[in-house]
Amino acid sequence: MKPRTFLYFFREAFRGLVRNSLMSLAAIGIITIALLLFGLFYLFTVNLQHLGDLAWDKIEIRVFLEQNVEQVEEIGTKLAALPGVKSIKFIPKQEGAAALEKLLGNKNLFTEEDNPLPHCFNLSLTEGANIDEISRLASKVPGVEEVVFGQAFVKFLKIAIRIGLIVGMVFLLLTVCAVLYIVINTIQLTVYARRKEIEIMKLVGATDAFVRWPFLLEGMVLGLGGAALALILLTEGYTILIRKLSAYHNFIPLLPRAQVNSPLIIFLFTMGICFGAIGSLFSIKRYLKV
Amino acid sequence: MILTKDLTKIYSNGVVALEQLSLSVEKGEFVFLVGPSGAGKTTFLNLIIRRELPTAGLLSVNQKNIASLKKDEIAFLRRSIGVIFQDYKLLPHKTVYENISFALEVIETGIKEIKQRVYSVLELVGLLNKSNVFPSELSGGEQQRVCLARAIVNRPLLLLADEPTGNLDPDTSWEIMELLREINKRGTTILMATHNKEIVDKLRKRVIALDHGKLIRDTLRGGYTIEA
Repeated sequence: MKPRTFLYFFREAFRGLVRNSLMSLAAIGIITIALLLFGLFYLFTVNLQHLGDLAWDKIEIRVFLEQNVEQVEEIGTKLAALPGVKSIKFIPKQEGAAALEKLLGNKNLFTEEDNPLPHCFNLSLTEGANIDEISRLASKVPGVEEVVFGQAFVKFLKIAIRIGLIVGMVFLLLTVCAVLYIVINTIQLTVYARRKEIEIMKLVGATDAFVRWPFLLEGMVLGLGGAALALILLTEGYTILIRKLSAYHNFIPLLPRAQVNSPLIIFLFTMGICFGAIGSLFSIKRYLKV
Repeated sequence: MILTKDLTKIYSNGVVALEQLSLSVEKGEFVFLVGPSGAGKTTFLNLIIRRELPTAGLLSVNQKNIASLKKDEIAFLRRSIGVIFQDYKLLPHKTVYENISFALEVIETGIKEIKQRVYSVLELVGLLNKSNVFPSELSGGEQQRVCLARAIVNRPLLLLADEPTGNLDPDTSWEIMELLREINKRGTTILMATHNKEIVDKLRKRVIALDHGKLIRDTLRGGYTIEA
């Protein structure tokens, strides 16, 4: 095709949008709502994952050493080398005693010579580390007396994160399908309104590709418009939510806006433009059979 | 130009629109296609532009079997055929100029040539002063002339006219007929389906009469009926 023909397509697409402005606005509105739905599920899922990560970060394994053990440094090196261990922190028995005294409110509970508490290492874990395996390996290090972590809580957290993610992903997938369905149907309405135009184009000798292009561009612009509106509403709404939550419930740490912006832009615009194009191609197909 | 052999069209509801039609139309001819409603005239025209597919038999246009054309070949076939529709089929949101230039845009004609050709046909149909007007602002006769201008702007070898005077008063009908005769004189083959007895009887061109899908008469310099 000649470059001038592409200019013609763009001009026709623009004219089509302006000429059918009410229909175009309605289509953009519906696509916005559909993409909003997707965006909301996306934000819910990534924040759920974020909360799970935060909780996971808080999990530590406590490794208590045998009384009077001397090779503390060597044990520390061995523990730090275990796969899945991000960092270790040594808590000498004196510090443990002080913490316990502080907790119980009795400052003279233990003396230097009479401290029954063992030395301890706190292990923090890398993301997705196998806590059971680390615990098993740590307990086998010579000089280790006991390994403790909140087994029941970890089990619950693992299941909760997995269920949350599966549910989130299923809903995300469902909303993607719903958005595609809605966009196709919406664009089908705009194409239906112009089926006679398509018929005339075909009867005067236009090829299918020639007829398709302006509609394809129109569909993409409608999708783009819907995505832009949905993005503005979602990011602004999310900012307000973060502000409100930080004022009233400081303990719910949502992902900052900057972190969700890029994926939202990519997802919404890709879906809007691609689905708009697919909707156009799908809708126009039946009217090309002239 | 057009050749048919045992051309048959039966619709999916069982209606036989054309039955074993065999005829030929030569280049440069002016042919009237007559017959009562339901005789198969419009079906025949639709088959020629491949809006419909034959059920059986052969139909060739420009020595091409229209039943075996591929998608893009159909588009190219249509570019060589101008069609005047009874209901005009003008795009309401495009001006007269745009409605006509549209037929050239789809075949990617250069902008200068589009301008020159559109103004040339507008002059021919007498609508130079209405180039920026929308179809809704035109009379029936003027709309039919725009349709005619769009049909010939491609310089087609064949012009099909389906009841081009069907909705027009006698004076306007004769204006359209004069234009068609002028176009025919320039070498374009014309096949015109019509109910207009006066025009057929007066012009004395070749007449092909159909009834219930069958060819019942093919007369050179014929009239609307045998008696005419």
